[in-house]
Amino acid sequence: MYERTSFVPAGSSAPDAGKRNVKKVPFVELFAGRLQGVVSSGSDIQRVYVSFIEAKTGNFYCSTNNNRPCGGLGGSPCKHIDSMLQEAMLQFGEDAVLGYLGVAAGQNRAHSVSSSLGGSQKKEQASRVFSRFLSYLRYCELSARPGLVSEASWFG
Amino acid sequence: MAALTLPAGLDESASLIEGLDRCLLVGFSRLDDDAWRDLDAFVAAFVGTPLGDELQAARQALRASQFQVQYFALLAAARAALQGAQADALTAAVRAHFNTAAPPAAESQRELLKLDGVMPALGSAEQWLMERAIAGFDDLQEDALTPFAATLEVLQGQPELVGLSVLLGGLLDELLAVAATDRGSRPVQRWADLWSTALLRARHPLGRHSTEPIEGEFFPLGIDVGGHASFVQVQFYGVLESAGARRVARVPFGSFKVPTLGGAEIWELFGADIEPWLSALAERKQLSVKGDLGPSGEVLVSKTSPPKKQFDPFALSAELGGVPGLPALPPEERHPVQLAELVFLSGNQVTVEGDALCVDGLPLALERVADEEFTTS
Repeated sequence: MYERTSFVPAGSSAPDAGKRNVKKVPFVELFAGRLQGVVSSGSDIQRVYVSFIEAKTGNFYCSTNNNRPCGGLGGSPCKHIDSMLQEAMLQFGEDAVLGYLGVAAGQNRAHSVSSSLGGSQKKEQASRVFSRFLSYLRYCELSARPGLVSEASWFG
Repeated sequence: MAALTLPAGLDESASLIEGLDRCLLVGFSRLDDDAWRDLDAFVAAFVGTPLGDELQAARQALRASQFQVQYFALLAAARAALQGAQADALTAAVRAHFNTAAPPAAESQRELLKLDGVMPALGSAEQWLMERAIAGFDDLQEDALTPFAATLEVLQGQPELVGLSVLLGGLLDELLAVAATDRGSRPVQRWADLWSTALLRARHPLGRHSTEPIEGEFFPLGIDVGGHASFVQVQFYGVLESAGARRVARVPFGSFKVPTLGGAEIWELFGADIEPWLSALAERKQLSVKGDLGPSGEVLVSKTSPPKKQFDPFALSAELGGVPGLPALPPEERHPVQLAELVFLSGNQVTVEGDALCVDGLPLALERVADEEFTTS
């Protein structure tokens, strides 16, 4: 149905988005058919893990940003992937994440989500996700010309 | 008080726009007979106007599957012209209803931006937008959308193009969200708005508005917070008193942001600059400001003194009828979504009708009010 409105209330943002743990999972996104992100190492502050899980197939991988495979991957998703799933559900809302991954609604525990997809390990260079993280960080440095941005009115 | 009724012609113009938007939904590569009739009606409405002949030519070309950006830009311009007229008529109706003093006529000169470094990216944006029109909003393939992220990055890097970047970033996010699951509603009028506005901005990127220096007292009456995942804009609305004259004015603060940042965290983006404004609003105090006044009543503040003197915002609001409202936006930016009027309601009948809270029978859009999510604890 065609609605005569230019404005759609932002109903997609999850109520707990502000409460998610950015230190543990600095970056998470639903992009190009996958949930992907960067997860801090629990033990070494210098190290981060780059993880992804593919929608529909459930294929996954996790490695350090230097391409060393995560030791927690034993044919099934590791705790980094579970942390990423948990934080994604806080940031985007459970329904959005489950819908994107193609998992039946109602599963709200990260591990049951990843195991219900039943994918297998799929090796990939960390740079594919890591470069998305770097471009995400660019937003901290972007500047806008001063003055009214009338175009923002659509996003009231 | 005159009754608030929709202006004449509003419904007819909305139907024309709806017809064009159906074409954008279906996609120009596969318009059916109904969609062609909608497009013909849209084009016919412009016969005798400056756009008339060119629109006819564009229609012929599209009919022959000659897909070129210039034809889509003409449709976008015609759509924007209708919406500009709608905005003017709606503003006049609201001002007649609330008996608001007429604002001074706005004057602004803007030059076309010369942006050699991003010209290729602007061209890519036009191309991407045209492809959306050819494919139609009904046909959203994630693989066809995601490569545009690289173009968007280039455009975002040019501070003068912030308006275009905000539009394109928002549109891309919304299309991707629906494409990923192939679920969710397709707000076609909204997407067609974003599409047509972005196409016009990409084709004719305009520079900053001319401003005049101003010095005076600002009495903040309200705040509006808007934006999307990667951009936020805060506007303080109030009355500016300068050189013995009062006018409604607004003070905008805008910033890109990382999408994770939300709620009360947004205030950190503006640091110390916004603090006197927030405390003035909370403590009902006026501010001494120095800065530049833009054509649509926006003040670009260069210096703010700490808020001192208290005032009564309700007493001031009761006088709003006699204070000239915000001047109209420049023609290229006019659109019903831009309407922003400070009004004072007193002695009105408040009723609850279904889920809506109504004032004299008019529903209040409370979902658009900035709420406690932005409150700092």
